[in-house]
Amino acid sequence: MSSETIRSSGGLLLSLREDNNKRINAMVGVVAVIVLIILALTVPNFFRMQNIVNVLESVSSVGFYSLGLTIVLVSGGIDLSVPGVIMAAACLGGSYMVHGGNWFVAFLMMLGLGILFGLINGLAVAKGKMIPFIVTLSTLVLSRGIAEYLSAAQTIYGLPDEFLALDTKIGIVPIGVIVFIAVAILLMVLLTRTRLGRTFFLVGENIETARVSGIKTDMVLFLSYLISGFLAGIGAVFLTARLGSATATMVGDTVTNNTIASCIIGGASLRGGQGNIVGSVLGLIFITIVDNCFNLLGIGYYVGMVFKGLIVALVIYIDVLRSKG
Amino acid sequence: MSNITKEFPGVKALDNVCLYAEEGRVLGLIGINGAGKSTLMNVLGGVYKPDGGTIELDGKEMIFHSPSDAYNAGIAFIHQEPQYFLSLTVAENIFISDLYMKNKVFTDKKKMMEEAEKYLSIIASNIRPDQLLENVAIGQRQVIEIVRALTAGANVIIFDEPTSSLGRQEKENLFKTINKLKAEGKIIIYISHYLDEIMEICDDYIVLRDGKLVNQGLISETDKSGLSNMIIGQKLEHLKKKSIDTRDRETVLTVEDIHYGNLLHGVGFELKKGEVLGIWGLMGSGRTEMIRAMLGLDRVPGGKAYINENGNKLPIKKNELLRKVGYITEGRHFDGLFLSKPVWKNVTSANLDAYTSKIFHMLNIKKEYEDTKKYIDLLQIKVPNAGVKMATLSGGNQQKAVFAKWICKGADIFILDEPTRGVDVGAKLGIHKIIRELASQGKSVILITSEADEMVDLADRVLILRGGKIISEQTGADINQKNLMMIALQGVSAS
Repeated sequence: MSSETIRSSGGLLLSLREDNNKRINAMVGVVAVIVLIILALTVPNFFRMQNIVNVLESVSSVGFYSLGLTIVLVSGGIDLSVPGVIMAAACLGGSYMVHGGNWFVAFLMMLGLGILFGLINGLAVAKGKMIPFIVTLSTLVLSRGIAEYLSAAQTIYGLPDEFLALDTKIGIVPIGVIVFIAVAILLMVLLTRTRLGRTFFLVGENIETARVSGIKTDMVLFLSYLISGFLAGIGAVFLTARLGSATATMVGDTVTNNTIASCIIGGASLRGGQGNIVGSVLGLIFITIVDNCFNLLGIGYYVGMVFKGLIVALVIYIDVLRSKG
Repeated sequence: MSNITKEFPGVKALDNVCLYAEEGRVLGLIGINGAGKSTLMNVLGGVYKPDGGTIELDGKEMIFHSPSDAYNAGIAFIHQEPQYFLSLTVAENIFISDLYMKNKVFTDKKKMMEEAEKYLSIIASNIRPDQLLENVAIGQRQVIEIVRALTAGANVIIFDEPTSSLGRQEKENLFKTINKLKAEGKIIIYISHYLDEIMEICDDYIVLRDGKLVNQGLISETDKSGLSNMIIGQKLEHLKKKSIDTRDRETVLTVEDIHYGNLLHGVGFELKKGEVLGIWGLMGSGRTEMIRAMLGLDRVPGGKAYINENGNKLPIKKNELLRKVGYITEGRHFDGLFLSKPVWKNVTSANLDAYTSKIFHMLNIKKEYEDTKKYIDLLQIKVPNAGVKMATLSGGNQQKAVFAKWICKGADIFILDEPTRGVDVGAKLGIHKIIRELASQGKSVILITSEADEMVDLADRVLILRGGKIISEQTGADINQKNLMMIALQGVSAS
């Protein structure tokens, strides 16, 4: 009798705690929707088709970063290097094509450089036991240096038509968006349905338990960075095709912040073990729309940066609230 | 200290304990694991507030609200494994909480060196204050903490198992230091399991058992066996259940030559099929470390392991061994479970291969869920369903879930380190039943526990660790509380 009472009261307490997390997530969703409605009502041109396409395109071109980052966050790490890797890959492929190189070889080179950086990050974190934040910050600087060097700090343009054809639209939807959706679905299945996906979550939540459970934790960590690097390569291809050029500044400074924020809004945690692809994509759409509205409202770039900085701080606080629950 | 009483939910940890210590004498505080020594010292050190009783120091009644109150009153703890700043000098380490300042910004290095030198010369003249701590031998670092206590004006110095990580020479140095402190007129309280040490260094003793003071007196009027009789007391022996002799059975695992710093000097054993092999020893005897070294979980050389396959003794790498065994510790939250994941994801986490398809490596989530339900019924884990978060389960049910994880994996060897610590009585009995079931199904179990009755109830064979070696093997009716404690304390059996 008494143990029954204890159990049920304990259960109640804990279910309240679980409710708390759900409540925070629901709150995030509700606030996001309210913000969007306000923006839709107050911002001129919000519903113009061109604007919506703009949003979708910018989501997809840097969106590969948020897909990769979701995997890395789930497995308990972070990858700051992606913007640099995208630019290095773009400048590598771009300068190769401008000097008469074949577009398909350039395409493969871009993917290859992404994979190479994923490999470096992965080895440093998994085998070298180095701190992910510092490792990927270093490779960010390194890859940006490569991009500057390859482009000689100039814009690389005049890319072959075959390559630029990667930006053609099927109906009104660009190929880049279609590939983005396809990759997102694939990763969603990977995370939720496959063995590898499960181990990302387990390693990210408690690496010691995972190790004792016989999971090859080094391999799992390594693969998360490899996937992130590969997706950086894909991102480089479609961003370059869309812009029609490559520079060492083509990915803006605020992209890293925006992407981390979008993953956390979508349910990922900086502490690892949490996250999902759908959430990250919705988070990214939200952040991009807010970004877009800053432009439509004529808020200057620098003022916009201040606001976005604040939003990210707020989002990370949400992460703290969740983990308390 | 008079009439100290402290209750924790469900246990009376201290019951009217009085402790009287004199200046210039060393008081030995002894008792088995869980007798109340640490609780008593935590009351004195301001960590716990007593439910009753008073503390008097130099005739003045003291009330400590926090450890810093006790520290300011001159009561210092020398910990088993103190923390230091390796890249700072000895002097800076000594004055770390109260650096000498020239002005508001800069420290007065010269003054600090002089002060440190003054105190160091009393007890350890071979350490220079300007040495970096990383250049001080590990066994000597304890001296730094003692000096730290002296500079803070401590009059009562408590040593809690200070020799557990020390070699022989270092131990002698420590005893010299303690004798010097004694000569300085300090009050010294010395806690140890090792009766040799108590006999050597202490002047007086008090013995705690089950939270009560059972004996006190002068060391000169007693001897080792007298002390161990007081520690153990006249407990009623309940009869050992029918015991099985497992010594002639097939060996499934052989471990040889495990070393672990100062703790273990070449231990090895054989594990038989279908037995519960107990590893017994006092706290700090290296029980847990032996297992961790065997599984390659710590960066120590470790030793060799062999596994029996079809009658052949084959060497096995440590990480492969880790993958073969079920390892269950008291640290469920640290290395046993994924707390924010549902029960079913925990149960299958060590056996994901069995649920993975050949193509695309897809998981059969439905089967994972169904199998988990089976284990929940089998082990009587109390949960509303297999999908609730692990964090919502009680400690005992969480521990059962760890068992479910390893049973699901089909492990043949289970290694249990304090498997019932912190779980309620009902769950404990449930876990005991599971352990017996496992052995009767031909699984082999290595059991480490600090509770003598648990060992007596479960083990078919017990190995006793003392002084870094396995000194004894007990079987059958010799596995009784008195015998186990006697050997662990003194190195000889009761009979």
